[in-house]
Amino acid sequence: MRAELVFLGRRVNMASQRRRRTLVVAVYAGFLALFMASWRFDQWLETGIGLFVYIQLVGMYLLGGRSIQGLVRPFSRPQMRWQRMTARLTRWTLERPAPENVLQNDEREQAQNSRAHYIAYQILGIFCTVLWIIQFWKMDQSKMLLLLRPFTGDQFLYGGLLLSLCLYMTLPQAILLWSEPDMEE
Amino acid sequence: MIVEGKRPLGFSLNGRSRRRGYVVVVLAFCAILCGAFLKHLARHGVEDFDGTMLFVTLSGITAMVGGVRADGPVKYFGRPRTALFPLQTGLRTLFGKQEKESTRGEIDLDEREQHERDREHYRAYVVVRRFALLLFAAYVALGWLHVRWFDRIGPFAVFLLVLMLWVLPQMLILWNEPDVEEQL
Repeated sequence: MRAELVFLGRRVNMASQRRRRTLVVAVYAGFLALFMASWRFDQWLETGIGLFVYIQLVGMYLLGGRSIQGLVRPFSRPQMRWQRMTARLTRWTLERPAPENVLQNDEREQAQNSRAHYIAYQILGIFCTVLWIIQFWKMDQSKMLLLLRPFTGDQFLYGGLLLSLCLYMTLPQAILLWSEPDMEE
Repeated sequence: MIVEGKRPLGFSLNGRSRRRGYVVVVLAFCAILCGAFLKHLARHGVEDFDGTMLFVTLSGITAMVGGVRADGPVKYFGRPRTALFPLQTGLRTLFGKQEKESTRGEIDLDEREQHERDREHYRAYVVVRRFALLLFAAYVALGWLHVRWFDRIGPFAVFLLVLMLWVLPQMLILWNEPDVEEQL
């Protein structure tokens, strides 16, 4: 994991855990705000694509993991090569792509990455199962779920899938950023 | 990662080829289940469908592979815990039934197994993420073509995701775990 984030040409020190946690909260708060605004605007129909673009950009430039930019180093080498090509087009985030050996994870970091994916996998498993069960209740037009009344069955599913996609893209990185202790100066 | 001496569906899982055969059998079962579900959705929609049966079947599939449950061929991933309902443990003690030794022994994972569990989850995560993207794209595209399909394909898409999330890492472990002789 990197201690410094280069964002829009500015270097931000992210060595402290508190700052990283703030970033994670800000990313998800921003997504939730956009998610609700998108529902009010057109029930996620056209603006749903905008949400997806937001997830991709945040994942690529802030969180990292699947790109050579962002705080978390790339999880795997093929991703690194592909991202190195795309980074040339977007030099405004990183002044110059770091050499490949700097981006490689050591054994401890690989173990941490795998552990974060394991935790994220469990969370997503529970999230999707709950979504699936609620969707059956919803389809059954149960009167139990008052909060879900404004949604039709397909709207509920579409929103749920959008949320799960956001989690798929960002959750392991967020877990890593959240749990990693302060870095030494 | 594999519990020795388990014979799910009468299969002995001692050899790697046997484990792979077992994975193919479980996958075939999942494919038949998905096919039947999709066929029902295409014909009748989801309105008169009872999801309870599907939920029970999913629970059965997780029992066939283990990992998230303590009774399958893959060791239980998490920390040991008591029965889902505390009363169950109490009743066992009351009627003089002891926990089986094998049930207690199969839960704990050593460090190597924990690394392996995490690594397989990483691999599974990559597969599921791509699959979710593909599924979402297909769902949106088909929904745009015909709005009625939203209702019919959506539940199937979520079910596929749930199925993959619950069984894929265990399948990968069963597929990749070498024989004990190979490890030595």
